[in-house]
Amino acid sequence: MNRGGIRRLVSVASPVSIAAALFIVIVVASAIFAPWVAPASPLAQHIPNRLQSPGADGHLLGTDEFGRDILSRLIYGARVELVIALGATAVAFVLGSFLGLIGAYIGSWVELVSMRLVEALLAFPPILLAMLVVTIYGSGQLTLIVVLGLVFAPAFARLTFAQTLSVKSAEYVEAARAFSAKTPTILGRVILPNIAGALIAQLPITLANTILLESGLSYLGLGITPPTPSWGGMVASGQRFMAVDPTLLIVSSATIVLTVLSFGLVGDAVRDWLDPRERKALRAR
Amino acid sequence: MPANESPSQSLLEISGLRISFPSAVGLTEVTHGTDVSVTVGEVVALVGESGSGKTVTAMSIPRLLPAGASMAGSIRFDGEELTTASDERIRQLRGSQISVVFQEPMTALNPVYTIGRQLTRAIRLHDDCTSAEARIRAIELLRQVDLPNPEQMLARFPHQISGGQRQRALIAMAISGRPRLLIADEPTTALDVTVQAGILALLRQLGARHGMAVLIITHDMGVVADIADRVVVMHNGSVVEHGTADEVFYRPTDDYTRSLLAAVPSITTVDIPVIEPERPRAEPVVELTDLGVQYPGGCGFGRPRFDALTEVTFDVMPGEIVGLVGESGSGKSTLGRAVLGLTRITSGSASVVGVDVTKAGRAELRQLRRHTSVVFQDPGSSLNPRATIGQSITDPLKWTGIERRRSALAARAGELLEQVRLPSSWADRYPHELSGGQRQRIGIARAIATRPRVLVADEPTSALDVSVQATVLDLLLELQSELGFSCIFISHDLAVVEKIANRVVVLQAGRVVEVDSAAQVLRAPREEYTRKLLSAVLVPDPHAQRERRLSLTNAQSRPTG
Amino acid sequence: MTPYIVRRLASGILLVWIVLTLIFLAIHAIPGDPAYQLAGGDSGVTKEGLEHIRNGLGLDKPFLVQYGDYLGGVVTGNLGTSFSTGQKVTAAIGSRLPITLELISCAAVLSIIIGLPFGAWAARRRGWRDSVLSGVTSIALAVPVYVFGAVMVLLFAVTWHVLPAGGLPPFGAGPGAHIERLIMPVVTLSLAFLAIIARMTRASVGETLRQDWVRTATSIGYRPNVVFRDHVVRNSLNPVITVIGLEIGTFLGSSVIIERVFNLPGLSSLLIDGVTSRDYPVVQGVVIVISVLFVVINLIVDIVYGLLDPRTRQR
Repeated sequence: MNRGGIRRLVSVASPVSIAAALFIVIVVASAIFAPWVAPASPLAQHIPNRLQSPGADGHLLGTDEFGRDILSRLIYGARVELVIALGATAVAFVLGSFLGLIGAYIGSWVELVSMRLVEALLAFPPILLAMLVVTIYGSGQLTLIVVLGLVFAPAFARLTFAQTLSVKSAEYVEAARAFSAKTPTILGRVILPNIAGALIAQLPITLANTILLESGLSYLGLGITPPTPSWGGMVASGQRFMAVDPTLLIVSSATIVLTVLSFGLVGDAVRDWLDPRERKALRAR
Repeated sequence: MPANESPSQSLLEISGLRISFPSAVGLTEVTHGTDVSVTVGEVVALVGESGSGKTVTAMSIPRLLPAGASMAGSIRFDGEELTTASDERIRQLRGSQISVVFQEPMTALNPVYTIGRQLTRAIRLHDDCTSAEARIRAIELLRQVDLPNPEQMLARFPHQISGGQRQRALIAMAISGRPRLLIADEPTTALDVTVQAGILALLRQLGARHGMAVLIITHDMGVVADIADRVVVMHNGSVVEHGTADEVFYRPTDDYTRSLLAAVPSITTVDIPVIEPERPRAEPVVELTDLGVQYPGGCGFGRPRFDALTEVTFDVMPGEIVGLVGESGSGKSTLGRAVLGLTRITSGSASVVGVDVTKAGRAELRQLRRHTSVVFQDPGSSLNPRATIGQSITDPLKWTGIERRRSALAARAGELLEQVRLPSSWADRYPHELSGGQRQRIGIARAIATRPRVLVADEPTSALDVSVQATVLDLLLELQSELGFSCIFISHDLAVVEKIANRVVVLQAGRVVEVDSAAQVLRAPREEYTRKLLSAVLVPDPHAQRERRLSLTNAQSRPTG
Repeated sequence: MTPYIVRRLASGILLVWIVLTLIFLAIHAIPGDPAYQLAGGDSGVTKEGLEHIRNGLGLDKPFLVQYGDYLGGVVTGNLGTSFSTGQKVTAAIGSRLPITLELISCAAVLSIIIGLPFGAWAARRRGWRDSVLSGVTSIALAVPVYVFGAVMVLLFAVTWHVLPAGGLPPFGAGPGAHIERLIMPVVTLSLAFLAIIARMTRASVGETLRQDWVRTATSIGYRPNVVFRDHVVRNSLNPVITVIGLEIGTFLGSSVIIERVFNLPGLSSLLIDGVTSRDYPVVQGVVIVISVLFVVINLIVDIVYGLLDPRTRQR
């Protein structure tokens, strides 16, 4: 990405997507600097102070059913959430785009095997696959990263597959073969730069999806194990006590929604930003 | 406006038409006050290169411009002003008064409905009739456009019939409402020459039979010479010349028209005694013996094996340019790919610069590719959009291992750019910053980077405008005489082949029909198929073309397609 | 058409077999001692627990025999016996499946009848409608189903008392109460699916509108509405159908969460209880049923696809 590209990104970005990007920066920064940012320990219980309203007793967003500071739990929760989301997205990206790339470029039996594998993975509803694995291996962070990576790898595989197929038929790939380029050179130097845009645009969207799925598992009590804070788990307890005080439900829900929404919006903006050149390339054909 | 027309005959009068499209800097005007007129029953050709505004001008008549386009000026159809008419009024005129035939028969029909359904719907839109009556009329229309077995054709889906047949079905739909003006937008550009001749004959015949005026939009002066009564030449959004076909072809007044006519390659129509030039006696650089390429029948059920090439035998001497001609599906591109070792040869042998391609392993193929090279058809997609021009043209040196040092590659890039008459400073640019013709020069620069002994050029100019095509062909010829490579020049255009090739190989359905010197094949063909191909070629000369057409219709009673 | 359906059917059966095998491998072929891992790994394995799992899953038998028993059981409808309740898994699933099917089919129908027109409406006239669509769907896709469900319960049940929350009396006991309690779960479940269908429809209709045959139809003189109905809508459906097939997995998964949020006595509670108590026969059974359901839905989608597009059938 050159300087002109960044300038163009800023110039085409709508205020909404800039706000979304800022929100992500805030979430990421507070996750990284959690020990300095969080006002209290996320695990410190104080039962007499349970279910306090926002502002009470120095708790900016109130306390949960064990009297723990909600804001601190959200901040530490972000840490857990982002580590899993980034890890799972990385796994999905590497595994999926590799399968898609070789499947589409080499074709024949490699295509058959890799795409059947993808299809079989797709035949499990994502949350079910996650539940099956969690049942067997327990719900550690590493397990979650691997299983969510597996769940979202097919999306990358299919995208890479489709993109590679369309790029592969372009004459410049044929030209590279005619001029003696080796397969790794063609894949890495010719095809990959031309499909990278679409893959990059898929990254924020996958991050959003992993956060959605992980928090869903935690909501069901099958993801992050308490007392470690997790956003999904906080929604679940918020729901349990919503008749008493809906604060926990509302702030934890809002955090998830805003984070997921922001990643989605940034993904859309990246896609739009990449689009003009894509369109130009198409028109030139 | 030609003054000799009586206003009563006038069907269409476009005057001072300015069309603008929205762009980043507000509205951009693409036509600057064009005047076009069509009288009842005549054939008018609107000619120009890409970007001349010819299609936009024609599409503004039935208001088929892209959303956001705005018009100023006047379009009078049969005395009625169309620029200010309501959308509903325009809709009523479409199909019943003004119809359109589009360029791309592949996509102009809806793939999910049968021809019959699309045609009968169109008939019932304009005629109040029962579906049984519509069916009878549909069969009659298909017969009028010379489609074989009209009853069966009704049940076909568009993907089940050939391109020429689709174009005929589209014409049937377009005339189903008995329009008085038929706009044909490059109706034969996507078709083979022999099919093209049939479609043009059909348009001419339908126009005469129904008293229907035809406004044909084309870039091809041969098509103009064949069909047009009058010609309007457009350039950069303005009409630069108009007049009868004879006036425009024989007494052009505008410089652009003259240069356009000069750039059009034309096959020689006069019979000159053939003097057989001596072939160089040497070891051939390419030697094909009974070469066959067979594609397997796909994975599984019911797809037959396909013979792309069968028993192809010919050779190429050092420094020779061999033209490889044939219609689509004749296997000419496959042959080019086979010579380069890009397609698996299933039978026979192919020796290229002394290497047997059929037996060559990876290392040998790599060795071979130091001496072979290729120029592709589509300048838009043959260059990697994410690589600079400098990279693109020197990559072959790197990949073949001839040169890997950065400084040497950069120097060579500059040299190559100068050889194809482009500034050496362009090495840092990207392909999308260049025009089609410039990109094709880059393609040629890349092809000569390794100083190849054999160059395969696969329709290198067919995507270019004629004036650009002429300069690219000249460049290729100059470089060939300078560097002395042998060239296999693949083309569907016999006029281009005549201009460039020493020898010609004619392919039909994967088999060689005729091989001989260019003069022999193009002026005194021995084979019936070659004669048919040649006679279908349109010459950009109305009188000569009329004679050719008459002798053709005498020879063949019925057009094909 | 028939060979096309036969081919699709064959590949569907192949996929079911692959899926069944993967599930089998996931439980029976864990590296090391499967029973040990299944009993809870390093945390709290008891000897009885190990024995129980070995006998219950037949882990003491040779591997291929286990596989044969497993496939045979699935084919004959015998999915084993629950560890914790001793109930036949097939019976347990049978009693809960209808509720899950009712929930997902109602939600699917709702998503399609709202999503398709919504997407088409936005694509046909761009401008502000486009912004409405992208705004609404972005939010709908960012709100997790359980959050949406919880907020619905908070508003409609806890705050305004207009709809009852949780549970589902059988249809026979009173259709009114049954339907009333189904409203919130169905609306919640359809939200994200609806958003995806609307987005895809918008993209697909937008693409089709640019096709040459649309211009041809316009040039023949059809009214804009007729062009849209005959030459845009039908051609736009295939990509939408493909997406429906793909997203139905996420949709089925969401139904598991929804049932939990609203306390519906469907497959979900069976599954979640099974996961928490490591009741493998139950988990395995539910996963098999939902995955096979998914493959079957996709098979139907493929066949519809072939019906709509004559080009597909020929391949």
